[in-house]
Amino acid sequence: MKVQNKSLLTGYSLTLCLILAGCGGGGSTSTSSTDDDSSSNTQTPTTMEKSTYSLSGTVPGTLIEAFCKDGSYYSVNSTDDGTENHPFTLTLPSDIECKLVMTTNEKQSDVTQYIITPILLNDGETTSSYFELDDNVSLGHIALPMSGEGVQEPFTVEVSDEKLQVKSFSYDALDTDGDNVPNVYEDDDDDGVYNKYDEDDNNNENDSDGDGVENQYDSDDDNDGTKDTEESESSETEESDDENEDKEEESQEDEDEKDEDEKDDETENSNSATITLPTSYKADAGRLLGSQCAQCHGTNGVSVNKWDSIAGEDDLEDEIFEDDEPIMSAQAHGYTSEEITLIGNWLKTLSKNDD
Amino acid sequence: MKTTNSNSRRDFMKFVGLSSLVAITPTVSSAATIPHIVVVGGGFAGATCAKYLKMWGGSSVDVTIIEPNATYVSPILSNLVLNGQKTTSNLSFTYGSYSSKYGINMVHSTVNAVDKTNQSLTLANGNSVKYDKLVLAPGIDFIKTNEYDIAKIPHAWKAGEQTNLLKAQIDAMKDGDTFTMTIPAAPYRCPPGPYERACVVADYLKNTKGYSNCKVVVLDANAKIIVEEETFATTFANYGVDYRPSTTVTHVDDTTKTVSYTEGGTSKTLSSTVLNVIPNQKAAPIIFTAGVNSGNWAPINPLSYESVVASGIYIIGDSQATGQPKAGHIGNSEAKVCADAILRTLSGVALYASPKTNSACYSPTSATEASWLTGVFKYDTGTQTMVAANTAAGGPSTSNYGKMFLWSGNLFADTFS
Ligand SMILES: Cc1cc2nc3c(=O)[nH]c(=O)nc-3n(C[C@H](O)[C@H](O)[C@H](O)COP(=O)(O)OP(=O)(O)OC[C@H]3O[C@@H](n4cnc5c(N)ncnc54)[C@H](O)[C@@H]3O)c2cc1C
Repeated sequence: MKVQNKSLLTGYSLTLCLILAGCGGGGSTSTSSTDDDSSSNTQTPTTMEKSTYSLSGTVPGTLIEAFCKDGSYYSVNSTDDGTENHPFTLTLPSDIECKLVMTTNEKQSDVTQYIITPILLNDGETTSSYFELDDNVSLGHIALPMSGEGVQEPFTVEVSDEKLQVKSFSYDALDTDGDNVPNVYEDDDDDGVYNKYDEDDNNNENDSDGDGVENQYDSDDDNDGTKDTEESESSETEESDDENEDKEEESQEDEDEKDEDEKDDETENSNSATITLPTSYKADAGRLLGSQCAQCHGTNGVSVNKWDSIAGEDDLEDEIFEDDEPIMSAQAHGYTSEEITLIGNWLKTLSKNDD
Repeated sequence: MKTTNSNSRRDFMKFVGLSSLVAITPTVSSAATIPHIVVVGGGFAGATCAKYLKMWGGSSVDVTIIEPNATYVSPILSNLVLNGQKTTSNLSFTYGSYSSKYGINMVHSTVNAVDKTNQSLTLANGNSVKYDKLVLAPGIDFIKTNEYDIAKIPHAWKAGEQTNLLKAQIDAMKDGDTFTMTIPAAPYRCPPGPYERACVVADYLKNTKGYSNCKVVVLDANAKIIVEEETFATTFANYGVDYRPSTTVTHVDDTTKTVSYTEGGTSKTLSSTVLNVIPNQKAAPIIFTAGVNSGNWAPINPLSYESVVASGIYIIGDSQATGQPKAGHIGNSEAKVCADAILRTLSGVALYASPKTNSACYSPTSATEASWLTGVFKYDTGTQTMVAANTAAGGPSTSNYGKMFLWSGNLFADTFS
């Protein structure tokens, strides 16, 4: 995963392309009418809470699949527009890393005839299968191999687009053995059928689609291209997800009732709220010390119940010793005035909970 | 279906072999490879650590929790299951919304082996997982005097099934029956916890069940009540708890429900309707498998919680060897110091030189009252250990009973949501 042979791999794919001068290849041998329809059929996103961007390009007649870190799955067939370069557009979420696999010859009835190519991206600095879109991106023409059978060497696409981040992870759940062939295109029982198409290959019942992300954390646990949350009256595989979520909600609710917690709604909100994560770490002594207030006053100073929120507190130095709660005063006396100043400065940077 | 292709990736790899492929290829800079931090255990320490690693490190780190159970049952407040004030499902947490909120990878399996040289873990499900930094937050294990069936003699010191087993046994008691519990030698998980349990059970039998002839016997391995002595001594006296300090359990018999022990050099045995043996404790098995223990616990540097015997491996929560209490609130606290230290190390920033941790326990003493105990701990540069900066305790009251749920509500949310 870390080490990629850029020159060898691109060289390899280039050679293949030269050999197969007519790169229209595999896809064009099948009837073209289905091509047009399938692009709209398999295009996944119907409703999306989060923002999405489109990834486009041209390929030989191809099935383009994206496997994302949260277990979600997106796919589209390229459109046969009569040229050799079939355009495709795949809509992907903006906030999650995904990887691509492109399959030519995918119209064959026999999956063993598919030519399956994992895609690597190289931005000049990093080569990896993973990328994250920051805008709509076109990859240009991708001259996929058109001969051979089965899973090919990864094909490296050079990208110079700042709207796309290439990200390399030292561990990849979607490719557990790190050989650049996603788990779904491995053949675990060596029967010649890829896990993805093999009924008896997936031996982990907690991971129905065998992509490496366990069902309850997989936002599309059957890799059918529809998010589980959007799948109506769900199939069996989703039941476990739902049960789990219900359970969690129940326990929270009971908790809140017993506590006579006036703000029980906030508990729910704080659970489901999405937060913006930073892109890099910045050391902050006030934040480190102040994070130790969270056990009683809530993460980042926002309490989930009627105990005080301290986010946005602007006079910690005075308030902390005026508190008439003996457990608070016991805590306060464990800190130096310099430490209280550091914590106070950090709390001022946090936005108050409106109330 | 059969594949007959000769130039598939699989066959290619078989012929060439991955290592030789790597060897003949020029290396592309991997400076941008995102480090993988694996947290073993999704309890108070582990769940907090993973959350804060992502909250502070964001997309600069990739974080995976490996934890066998999809649902975590909190031991904190679990004595209230025994007297029917809570159920184990009230104290249950799942990782679904938590993991998607922070972008944490979840794997439900047990880590069976740690290969420190190759920085790789072997899981019970057969997979192996590579790590750049490893955080072990696996909790405790028990040192039993002899083999016996914990379904008959529950410890209920890890919450869940064990808690419900003990509750069912207590509920089956009749007036005149005896409840006996043993308190392990310090250090053990949650110093006030066993005393708290004796109070809760005694109150339940007497005041909820209305049994005036039940006996509650406490065999304490320690020489005296080790925390909140005044509170517990007074409450024991109120309930007529038979408290026997300096007793060492030597044998437990699950068919006769008998405990053998020594007290002041004399061997004694005691039979009981319900026998709740809480054995002595040590770090969880993976600490020993990984070879990061010294004696029963894992010694660490309190500035980072990095093992003093293996670099790149961090130990937080009940398994680590500092003198800080083994408790969930402070496990959460240690986890933040550890998360920050790992992120500093990855960014080439010096460790924070004077971290603080804190601890709080609210102890129910009946179905309506609770006491509390709290402490702040600071790093002492002279001894390079964590020492108490201030500690305090508050006696039982109904107002503290209510505040116990406000405290636990925020602690649970800071850890699991
Ligand atoms: C009755 C009672 C009352 C308590 N009250 C309080 C209180 O008021 N305040 C307080 O602060 N504390 C209290 N505690 C103590 C508190 O519950 C524990 O100290 C706390 O749970 C320790 O957290 P931890 O993360 O170290 O371990 P745990 O919470 O035990 O979590 C460890 C996790 O690691 C997992 N694990 C273990 N081995 C492996 C492996 N090899 N691979 C993968 N996963 C593994 C386990 O499944 C487990 O989920 C109480 C405890 C009890 C029993």
